[in-house]
Amino acid sequence: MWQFLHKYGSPKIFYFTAGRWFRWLALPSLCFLLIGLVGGLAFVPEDYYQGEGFRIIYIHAPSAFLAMGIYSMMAISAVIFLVWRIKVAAMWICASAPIGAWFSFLALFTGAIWGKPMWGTWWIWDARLTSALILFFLYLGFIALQSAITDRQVGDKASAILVLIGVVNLPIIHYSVIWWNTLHQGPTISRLQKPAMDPSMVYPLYGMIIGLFLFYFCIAMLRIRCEILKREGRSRWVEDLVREKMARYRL
Amino acid sequence: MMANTITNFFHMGGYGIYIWISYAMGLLVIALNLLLPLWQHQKLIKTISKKIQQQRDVHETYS
Repeated sequence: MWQFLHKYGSPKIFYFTAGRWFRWLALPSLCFLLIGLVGGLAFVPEDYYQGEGFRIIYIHAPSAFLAMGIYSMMAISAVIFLVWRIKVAAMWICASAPIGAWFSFLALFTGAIWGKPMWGTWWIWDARLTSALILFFLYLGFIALQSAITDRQVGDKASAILVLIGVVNLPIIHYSVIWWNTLHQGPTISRLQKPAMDPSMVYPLYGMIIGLFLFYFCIAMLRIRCEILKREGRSRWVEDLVREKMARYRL
Repeated sequence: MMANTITNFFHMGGYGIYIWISYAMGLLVIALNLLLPLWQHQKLIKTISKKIQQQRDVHETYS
């Protein structure tokens, strides 16, 4: 365990490992996304209540899921960083935040578009929508805080604590449709009983969710590579790496 | 018959516009999230290589 942490906790080793993981994850992620996309658009029968309109669920629910999943992973990394002081954990949080912001934006956007024909309104201030909006603002707040503090060590610590405080929002989002009266429909697959959807309709949803999570790991690897270059730009191994690239491309 | 199927597919029972905007936005977000870090990586490599080049130039003028 300790050996593992020390090996992958080193930014240099992680830089090269991340490149390899990106290449391995790219194709499976694409395959799952295609299954979800084609299945959701073409092969799934229309819904009894919502007609064809429910097909937005295959974009909306997985991106909302991912936005919450990314936040929980950031919280786990924050604990790892605060307890064991592992630099890569702090970089992982920084790499994840913009992705989380993008996908929570996508969830809000598609939610508004789905709300218009089904509820007759783009937006209402009810529990689910408001708590999802707060998640989006938490991501933006994290990015702002990280870029406002120039001292890396202070910045990493402060933003890790911010992430941990925001965790309280996750159960609120999840249970908001149960605790409060809302226009939003109840949970479809994230419940302990069997999914509230027919198997013939649910498989593109699983495809999209698996595909998007793989995609997140994939692009988090790219972003963490940038983060490592930004932070370790002056170290010897980065200069050697860049020199090698310069020689190869004759820059 | 074929043309009819295609029109029906894009029409989506009247929900066409909502569905296609959602899916287009989804694709856009995925594409941007893939491209932005790739561009940033390239830019970082370029900045660092420029710095190395400058150091080399300084070194050459003083030696």
